Amino acid sequence: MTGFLKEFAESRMAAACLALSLLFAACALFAPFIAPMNPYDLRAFSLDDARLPPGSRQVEKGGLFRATLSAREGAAEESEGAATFRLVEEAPGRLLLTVETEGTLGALRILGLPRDASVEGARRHPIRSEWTLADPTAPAAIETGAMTPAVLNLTVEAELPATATDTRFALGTDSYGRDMLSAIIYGIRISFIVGAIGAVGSMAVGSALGLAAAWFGGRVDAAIMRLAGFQLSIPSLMVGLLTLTILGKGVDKILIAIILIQWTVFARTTRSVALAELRSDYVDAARGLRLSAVRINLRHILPNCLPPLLVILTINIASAITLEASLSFLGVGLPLTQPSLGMLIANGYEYMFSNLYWIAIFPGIALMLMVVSINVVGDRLRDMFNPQLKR
Amino acid sequence: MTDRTGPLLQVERLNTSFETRAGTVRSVRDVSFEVGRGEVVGIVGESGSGKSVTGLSILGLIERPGRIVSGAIRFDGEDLVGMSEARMRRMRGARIAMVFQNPMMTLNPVQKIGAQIAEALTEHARLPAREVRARCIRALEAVGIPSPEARMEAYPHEFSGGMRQRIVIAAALVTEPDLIIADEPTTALDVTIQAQIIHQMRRLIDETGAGLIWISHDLATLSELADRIVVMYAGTVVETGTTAEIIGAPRHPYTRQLLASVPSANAPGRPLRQIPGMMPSLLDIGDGCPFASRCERRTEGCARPVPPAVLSETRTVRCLNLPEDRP
Amino acid sequence: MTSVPMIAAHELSKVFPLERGLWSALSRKLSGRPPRRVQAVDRVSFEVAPGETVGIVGESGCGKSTLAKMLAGLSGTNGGELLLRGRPLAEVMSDPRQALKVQMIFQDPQSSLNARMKVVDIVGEAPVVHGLIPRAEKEARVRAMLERVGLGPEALHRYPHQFSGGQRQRIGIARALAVEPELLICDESVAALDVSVQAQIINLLMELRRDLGLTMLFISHDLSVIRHICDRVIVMYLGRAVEIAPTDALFADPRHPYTRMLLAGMPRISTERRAFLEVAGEIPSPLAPPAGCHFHPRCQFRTEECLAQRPPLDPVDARRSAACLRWREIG
Repeated sequence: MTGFLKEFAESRMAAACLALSLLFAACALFAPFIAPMNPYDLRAFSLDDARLPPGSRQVEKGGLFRATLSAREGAAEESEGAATFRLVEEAPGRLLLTVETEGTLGALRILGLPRDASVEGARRHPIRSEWTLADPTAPAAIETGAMTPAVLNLTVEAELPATATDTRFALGTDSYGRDMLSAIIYGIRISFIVGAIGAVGSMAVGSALGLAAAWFGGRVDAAIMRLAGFQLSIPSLMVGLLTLTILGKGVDKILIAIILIQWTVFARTTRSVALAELRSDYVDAARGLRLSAVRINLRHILPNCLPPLLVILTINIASAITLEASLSFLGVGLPLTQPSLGMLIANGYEYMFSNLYWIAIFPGIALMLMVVSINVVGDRLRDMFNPQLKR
Repeated sequence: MTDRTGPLLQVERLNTSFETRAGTVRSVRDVSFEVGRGEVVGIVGESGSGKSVTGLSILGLIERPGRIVSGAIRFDGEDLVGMSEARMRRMRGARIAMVFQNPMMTLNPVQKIGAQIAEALTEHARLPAREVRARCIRALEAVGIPSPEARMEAYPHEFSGGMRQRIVIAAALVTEPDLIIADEPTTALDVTIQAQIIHQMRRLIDETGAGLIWISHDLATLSELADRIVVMYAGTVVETGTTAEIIGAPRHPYTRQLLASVPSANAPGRPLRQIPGMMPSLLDIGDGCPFASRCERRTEGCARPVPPAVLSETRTVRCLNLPEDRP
Repeated sequence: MTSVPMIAAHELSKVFPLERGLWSALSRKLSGRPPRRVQAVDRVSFEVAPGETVGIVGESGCGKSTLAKMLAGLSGTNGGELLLRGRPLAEVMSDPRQALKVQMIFQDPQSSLNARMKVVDIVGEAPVVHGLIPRAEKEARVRAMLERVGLGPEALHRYPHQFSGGQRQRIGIARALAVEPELLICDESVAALDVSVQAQIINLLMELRRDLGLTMLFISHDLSVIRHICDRVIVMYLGRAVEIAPTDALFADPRHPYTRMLLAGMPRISTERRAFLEVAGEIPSPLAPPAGCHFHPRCQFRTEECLAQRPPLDPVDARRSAACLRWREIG
């Protein structure tokens, strides 16, 4: 195994791509632990953050807290949300208002004062009875004027400003204010898993049919290979579109579509390799030992077909990912609740020309890197398994 | 052909190694022999003896990771080791020809055989088309292909295995080379066909005066064809001599035991005399006698390099403890 | 030969169709021409007694390997009768335990072992699957078999590529022995081996034959090997048996002209160059064998009759027969 890895790593490019592929695989497996946010959690994002460019900070929403107080017994206290309002009669005709909030107060307004009342260090609205304090953090002194404070009902508005938090959106946000990085990591998870399961499923179906074709020969062989040939004459995206149009959206449906498209490649390869293996003496030996056909196929022939199949598997994972992305981009693939990379690209596509490049470009780059690196790994495996290229 | 005196080919202390992941495989070690004009030299050995690598070394066809480490291959007085690839290719086209075991590997399945034979001629010399055709037909005739004119237009698949190998030999002969190197050329053929080809080969060598190196694992065919035999074992030449000497009075313990182990040297139904053990791995092999581990005559000296002992003008044996005469 | 013969073949034939599929069937129907086919084995009859070693010799295309596969039950027959210990082959093959009594040793030690299986599985799989031994005894059985063929227990958990050609051939023999066969069919089993290794394997096969009382069918193109280990020899040419004779008699006094040609072409170790006798002609293609006696185009004894008539396999004496109209004059 270490020897195999050493040989593999003789191509630096392939080694780098293997590392990258493994990284993507890790993304797929551990997305919830890697992603900074959960893009499925509606509470975790807000429209305030929508379409922020890469590197922006997440904004903590501000708030407006309002309370109506009356210092009937010389003092009053009221809590409203994150703010606590206290009103104390400091001296006759003079009230002191303090507001405690988490975070710094952005603005403090006092409403509903009688005409002759005034607030120290505050500006009155030219028309309404609304006093805005110059320094909202300091306690506000209110001269009640002619009215006794006890009958005074005043309304206080405390405004907390929106503040930037330490959380950054490394790759910006989409039109729903979702962190792109998290969306991409979850997108990779869906794309990769769909691609891998789809390709493995295709291999299982395809190699079983290929083995059957090689073993039985004659009509079975002709039927299976004609079907494969017929199907290969239709563009694979067309097959996918047709299948999904008939079946509808969904992960299971797209897996069926991928298997329907990809089984042919595996069937043809398995058949050709198995035909060569069937001519080997060890198959005759196994038949001479009266082992069952299933046993000979699965235990003897299939393991010898595996090297080329694994190469095709790797490359087909990449093509399954592309296929799923294309179908999702076209809107027939996965449902909205499972946004794969293809759907992220599709979502971002409409913003491409509004200079909001990051919404489509970053999922696109992720998809490209994933497909290219898996393909390079597959090519390297093919070179290694090809004895003619081996020195 | 040149009328220079001296042997046609002189291989001197040839060493060829292959660098592999596991280490250095010293496939050919300190191999020396000569081939004269009009002489058939047989190189005999089992798989892994280095006989094919020796042939490829002479042809300059050792490719990475292999290389000729040291030694000289003098062909008509000129050293082939270190010769430029372009000159070597010209040499292979015009003066040294090769015939390999599997004719289908040499023949192009989609080209008419006439064109394939002519290729060797036209690549290195400008000749009128009629002359080319005539020489091709003559070459096909020489190897015993019936109605060669008609057969020029046929494709390789239209011939049987034996016929194909004759065509390959014809393609090798058409340039009238001075030296032919044939690696197991009849191994894949049937007994009766093999006999025909050997017969024709012998006649052609006698007629043209070219040198022939016939590489084979089969002592019986070699004994019927070769003038001299070079016995190789695990990368070294253990014994050389005329065919009569090697077959009639083998001196090296390996040659003796090899000859004794063939079925025809044993009474039918009786256990064959067999050489115990296995050929050592050529991977990082030492310089001592490679046969020592299987040899009943080994002594402590066998672990050190054993120089070839020249017994007569025709004969060298690489053994410290030569058995006296024929047992 | 009073006991029931191990093999009794009577007019055994095998035909391979060359054209298959709808198209060629249709075009045949329309044109009315007969289907093209190869008669790989053409009405061959012989018997092999228990404990006997019979050689089948011939050149490529003579049908010797097809015959071997039919005897091993790996390929069906197209006519004729084949009895194993007096029972029809099909009946024997339908009972796995009985079918295991016939085993084959192959030519190419490289391709006859599954490269992806360990020796312990290669040798031990069939006995366990067929319930000859319980799974727990698999290793012990394999170890015993390996010892039997001269390999140590360290071979158990290795893969075929870790062995030399001769050792691989030993593993192939151990695999056959593990199911306790009575009849061993060796198809060119030593042809791919080096001379010194060949001697080891031939010795092993002869030793096993003696110790286990095996009946052997030894198929080879190498006359010197055949001569060494066989009791009787069947010479085949283009699907037909042309001569059947005890080994000594065959080599001393061949009666069929083809046998003579084979023996003349057989390379011999000699101290002097042989004056080769020019061997006439090529082996004709099995697709279009010559009419009458298949050998007539290359035969120096041919007469008009040979062109028209297939010579029957005539008894020359009690133990030998030759398929030549003029065997009396030859030899």
